[in-house]
Amino acid sequence: MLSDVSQLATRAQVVLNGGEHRAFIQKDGTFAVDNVKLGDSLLEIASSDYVFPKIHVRISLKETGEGKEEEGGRASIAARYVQIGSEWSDDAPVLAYPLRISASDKYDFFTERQGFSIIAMFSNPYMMMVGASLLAVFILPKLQANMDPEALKELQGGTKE
Amino acid sequence: MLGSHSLTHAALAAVLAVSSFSMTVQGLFPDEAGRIDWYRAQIGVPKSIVAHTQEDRSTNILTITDRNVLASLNPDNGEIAWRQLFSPTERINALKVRGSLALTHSGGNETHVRVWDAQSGALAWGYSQPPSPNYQADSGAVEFLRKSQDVLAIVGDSLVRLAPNPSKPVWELALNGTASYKRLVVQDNVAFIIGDAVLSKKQPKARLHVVEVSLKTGRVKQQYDVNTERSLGSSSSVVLESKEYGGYILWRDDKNIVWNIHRLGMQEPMWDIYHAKLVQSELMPVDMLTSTLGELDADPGLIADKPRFTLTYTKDNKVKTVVVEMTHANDKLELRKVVGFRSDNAIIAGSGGATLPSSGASQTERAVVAVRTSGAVSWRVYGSNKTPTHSGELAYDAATYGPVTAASLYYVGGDPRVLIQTSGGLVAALAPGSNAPVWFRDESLTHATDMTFLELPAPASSAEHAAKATDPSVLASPVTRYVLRWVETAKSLAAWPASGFGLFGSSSDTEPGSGSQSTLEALVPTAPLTEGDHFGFRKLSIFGTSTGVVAALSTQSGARSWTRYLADNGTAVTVERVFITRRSQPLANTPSLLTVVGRNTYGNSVVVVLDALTGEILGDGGIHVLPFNHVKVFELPTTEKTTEQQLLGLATGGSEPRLAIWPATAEAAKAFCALPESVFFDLGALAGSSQLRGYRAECPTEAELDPWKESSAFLPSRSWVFDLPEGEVLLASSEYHGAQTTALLGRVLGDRSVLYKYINPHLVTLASRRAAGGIGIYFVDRVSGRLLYSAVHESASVSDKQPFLATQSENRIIYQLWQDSTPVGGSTEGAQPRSKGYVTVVAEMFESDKPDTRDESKAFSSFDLKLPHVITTAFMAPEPATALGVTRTGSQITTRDVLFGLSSGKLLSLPDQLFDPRRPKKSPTKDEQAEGLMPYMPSLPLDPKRVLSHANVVAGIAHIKSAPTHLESTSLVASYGLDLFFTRTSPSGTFDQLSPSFSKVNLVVTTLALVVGCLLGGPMVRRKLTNQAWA
Repeated sequence: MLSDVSQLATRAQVVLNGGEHRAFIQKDGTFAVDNVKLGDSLLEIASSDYVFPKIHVRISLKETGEGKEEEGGRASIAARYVQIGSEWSDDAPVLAYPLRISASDKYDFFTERQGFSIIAMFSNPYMMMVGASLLAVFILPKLQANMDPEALKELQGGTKE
Repeated sequence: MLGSHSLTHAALAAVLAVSSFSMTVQGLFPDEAGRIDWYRAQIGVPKSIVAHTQEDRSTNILTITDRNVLASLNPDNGEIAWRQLFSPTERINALKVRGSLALTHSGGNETHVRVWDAQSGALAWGYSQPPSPNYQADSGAVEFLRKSQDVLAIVGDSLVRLAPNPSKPVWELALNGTASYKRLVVQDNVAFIIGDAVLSKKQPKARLHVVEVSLKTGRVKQQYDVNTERSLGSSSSVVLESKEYGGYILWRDDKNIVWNIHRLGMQEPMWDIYHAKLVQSELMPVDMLTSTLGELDADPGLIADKPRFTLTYTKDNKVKTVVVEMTHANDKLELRKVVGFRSDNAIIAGSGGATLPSSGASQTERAVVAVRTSGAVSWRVYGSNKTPTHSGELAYDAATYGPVTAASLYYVGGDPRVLIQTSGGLVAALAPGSNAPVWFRDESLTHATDMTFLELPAPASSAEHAAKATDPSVLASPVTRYVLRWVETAKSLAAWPASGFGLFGSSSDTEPGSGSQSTLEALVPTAPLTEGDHFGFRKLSIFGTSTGVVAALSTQSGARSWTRYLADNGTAVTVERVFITRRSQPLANTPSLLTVVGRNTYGNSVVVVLDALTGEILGDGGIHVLPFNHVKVFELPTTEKTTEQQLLGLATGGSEPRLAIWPATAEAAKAFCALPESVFFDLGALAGSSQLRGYRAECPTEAELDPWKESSAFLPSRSWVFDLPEGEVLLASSEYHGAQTTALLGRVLGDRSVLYKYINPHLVTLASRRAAGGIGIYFVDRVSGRLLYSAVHESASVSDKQPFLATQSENRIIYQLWQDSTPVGGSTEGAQPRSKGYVTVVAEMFESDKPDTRDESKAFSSFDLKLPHVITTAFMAPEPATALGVTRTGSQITTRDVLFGLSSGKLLSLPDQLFDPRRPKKSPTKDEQAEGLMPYMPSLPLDPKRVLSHANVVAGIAHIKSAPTHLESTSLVASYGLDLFFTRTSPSGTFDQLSPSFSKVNLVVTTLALVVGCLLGGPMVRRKLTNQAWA
């Protein structure tokens, strides 16, 4: 989606927990967020032009042999894609670390201006209704005229009774 | 019969078809971008500027600003080449440049060191130091090492050496909080760090603490105190760095006439004494007592083979500056005068030019500029000669952006450029031989605190102008004015065929002064904007800033109409609020009034009244400094009779607040006391408070109102106290802004019954931090102090980095806060969070939960108020937002859009229907379908078609304001903070306008074709009928 990552360097940032931490993106597209607390965090790429997935990052301390958590011990990181508005589930596949995040879409802010087109005009349901009414106005009398007068009389008589 | 019937049907259908075309318009068309909106990228007021010369000898200006932006500017036009926005709470302290790399030091106790590619602005590498308990305030410095890519930095309470791409420092030296280290002098093998020592009972005397550190190992070689009372950065001390001779501290002690020179690392003797008279022979001892010292180079470690500083003294009432250079002769230190010149009211600056290490320091790069700041701004560049090498002047009026406060010098292809900066926030580049700036940047609005819209009078026809000059009585009656306008229209209609039926170039969108103009005209607009347009798109947006600037911009083009710098005793007034207190009638002689409320440096309230159209300061006093300091300012619902000026209330704080009014006249006080209802007010969320207090203004007897002085005030009685629950602290309060209009009193449900809206103009929303964690929300009635509704968000948190945002409109309150987790039904403590993110909560208030039930009393009274029926719902926000707003239209018939300023630089506008708390969470019933309620979705969509700012990166949106236009469908939207972005939007489509693609030519041609058809067809039909009759 995004071929040249270097343009992100001055147009995007990494935001953790809605602004608790921010990180800049390097020319080669790498980034690092420092001094993150243990626990769960929401990682977002704030970009004005590209859509990026949101990621739930869980940082936990690796348990030592005695089964106790140790300050300054090595932390393990589990990252998963999340959808805004849905619960964070542990069932989602864990992403490889270091994270590789790629843009999922480019924002398209504009609506193309529709030029004048006959087809578009006549495909409008109202125009179709108009067309049908006009058909009824002009073609039906013609059909009436072409009809056998006796059949017509029969038809009119039938409706009268 | 059948035919005619279907024809009327067809006509109706055609009308519907046309109207349906206009309703389907959604999103912005590419050709509208930049035409209906305007955008200005800003950086803030520079704190440090370094010109950076690249390999190809081209120059860029790198700057760090007070809005925490690192930016690169084009030296030829001042445009932003690139910028990097730091977190709003992360102050950038220092900037250094070497070759193609820039180095920044930012943050406080948690310090960040980052190296940037100066060409592209991309981060090369960075390092963060976690906070330390021993951190001394203001400590921190950073420097490149010589002959290496490594960086030495004072971060938090440590000195670290960093190699590129560090996971951890090469070495780290804990400083144990011994001093507030601010200076770093790097030598080949060692570095010195200098700080103001921390005072203790044992050593209560101020002194400088010096630590010598080995660059290789990071070990302390020695540390000692230098006994001087001068602190770092004082005007009587300088630090000098030299590659060859080492580092020095030079200072003059109080009441002393000699200089003390300490060579860093040398303790025996601690200092030498030097006589300034050897440098400047005319210097007498008495002149030395008041002399000052100054450093010249923004980045001294770079070009200082011969370090230099300035000595400024006054002799015979003339201020003189001498540039002194340090050299060594025969292994003996020597100070030498380079140049001396007169410098009354001048700012002296060296060339901040960073050069390539290979090119060395040429003469131009050793130049000094002196900028005279009083009177006309004039400048001179001195080399080593007494006659300046270049000089120039700027036609500048300090009443627009304030006096010049800083200057720097850089070179473009050998030509000097002088960059000046004013206290109001103007940055301008000057070149020799022109009194206009080469370019300028108006960065004052990055400090905007408030903004208001001023309706401009609709363009008056030339006939009306003529009538005003000859017979003003014609203008008094709307009927005669209408006739006058018709006469004018008839005249222009006669000239219409001659103009080619208006087919060619009708440029109604352009406004006077928006065409091409010189930078001088742009800097000082000669003709203020005094006329609007017929649709009300062109208004004035009047900003007040904390740097003392009040500026009026056209909402249509962003062109400045006028700028005024407000200062009291030479220092800028911190403007807090701007109010339009009188709206003039079209063609009337009484001007619209703008009342500006702010504070001076002592905290006193300051009020200034200006002509809103021209920016002229009115009244004899000009700036009124009041003998109190206000806590809150608000509009009062009455006007002074003689001047028709709207009253403002200024409430002071303390245990017994007072309410002063503006204008401070007896007339105004009488108008205030004549109000049919008492005035109730609260003081808002005062820092750290745990209660909200409500007051009622009391009127004294009529006799006491005369004479009413500026110091007079009403003594309000406290009518209620709203105490928060135990341990809660008030964080923020929000209220209605401006008069509210409502088109519909209720909501029609699917079964044709009505839910009546609960609209209470006195409603105040409070947010508080709970002792047990989480955020409490309270809706309080300002008049009675009654609690109308409360909610608790247990896992929410609010901080500088995760702000609380709220907006109130009609019967709906929308607020946003950060939710650490969303516990669902009986979640236990310590459970894994189910999700995190910003939550947008909507609370909609109705008079009753039962439809068709309403309070039938004629008068609204807060005292016998029924509690509202509040329906709330929450949504997950798509991205972190920094500001919230709602669109406003003339009669509010058009639905509102909710506006979000997103931290990724977008201004997003989402339709009102999305925020309906009644959106069904289960499959909608028939009634709900009939009402048109959308099924509930937990997240708000980020639809790019609804991003008003489209491809523009609107950084740091802090405020979103909206104003109605004369078209009910359309609303003006303005966002400010760091960048400015103004646009207009039509939440329900442009139902009252023809689309821009509508062809008037086609309409005329079709009508003509029909007429021709009738004329041709008429005789044919008649002949056919005649023939039928004969048959």
